[in-house]
Amino acid sequence: MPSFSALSRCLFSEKESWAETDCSEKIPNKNMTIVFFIESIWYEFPEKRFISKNKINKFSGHKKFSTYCPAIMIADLNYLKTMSGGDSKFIREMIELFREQIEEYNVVMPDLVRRKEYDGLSKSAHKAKSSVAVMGMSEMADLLKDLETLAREGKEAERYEAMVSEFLQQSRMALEELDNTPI
Amino acid sequence: MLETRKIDQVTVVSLKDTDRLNAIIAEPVKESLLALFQKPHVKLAFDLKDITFIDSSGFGVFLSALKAASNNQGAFKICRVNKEVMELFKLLQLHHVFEIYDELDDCIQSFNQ
Repeated sequence: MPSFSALSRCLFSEKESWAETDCSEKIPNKNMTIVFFIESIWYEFPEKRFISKNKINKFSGHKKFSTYCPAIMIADLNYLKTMSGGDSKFIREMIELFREQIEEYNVVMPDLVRRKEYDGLSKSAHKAKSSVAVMGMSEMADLLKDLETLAREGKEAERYEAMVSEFLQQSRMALEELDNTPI
Repeated sequence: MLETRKIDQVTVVSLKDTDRLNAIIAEPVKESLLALFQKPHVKLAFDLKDITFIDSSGFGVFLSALKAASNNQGAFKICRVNKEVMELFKLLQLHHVFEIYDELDDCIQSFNQ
């Protein structure tokens, strides 16, 4: 179960990099069938993607998910640590700021999509891109950059809802992760 | 430590006798700012003229002030940031977080818009 839990967290376009992490030996038999099985669930049932860390810890018996395999954490505080010289108080302030920003985006962005306010959505994505970049969420920064460009040009509007949903969901998971990570 | 003056309805604060906002003075500066935000609807502009360096504890002070302002229906803005300090704001992506103005007058007027 710990392997399943950990594996399911990093399968989003991460199959190859997973094999290079220190956790590779924890994949049961390195059986790629399991990988594809979990990946299919990941794509088919997006609402099931979010697994509470408490549940993971309950199953895995590990106190903290992040200590199980740091290589698969969504957020990466190295940039903030470098910039602040490891000032934990400042880093906590930045995490709290990020939490407030996500709460705001959680209200604003889906509303902009609903109202087809694509210019506003593009601007919002631009701002959010900076927030996630500071938290070391480079994949989300790339996603938001794409959203910013697409929304500014009003192209592929059918994708916006899924992109916003992915961003919000990953951000919530990152925050939960950060709450359980010693700084 | 903090010099305070009132222009129109805006409280303008600046640092006295120093060109740095760092860990040595961060805590008393923070306490003074938070005390100013104890009243509701306070409009406060932090004038960074002559400040040449801010460290993480200094940025932490601004984040606390912003939070205090927002919790008490106030507003916190920053002005006259020099080029080097602005680079630090940008490196931390905080230029998207704070309202920053080149000129004090523009900053003060923005509170009335």
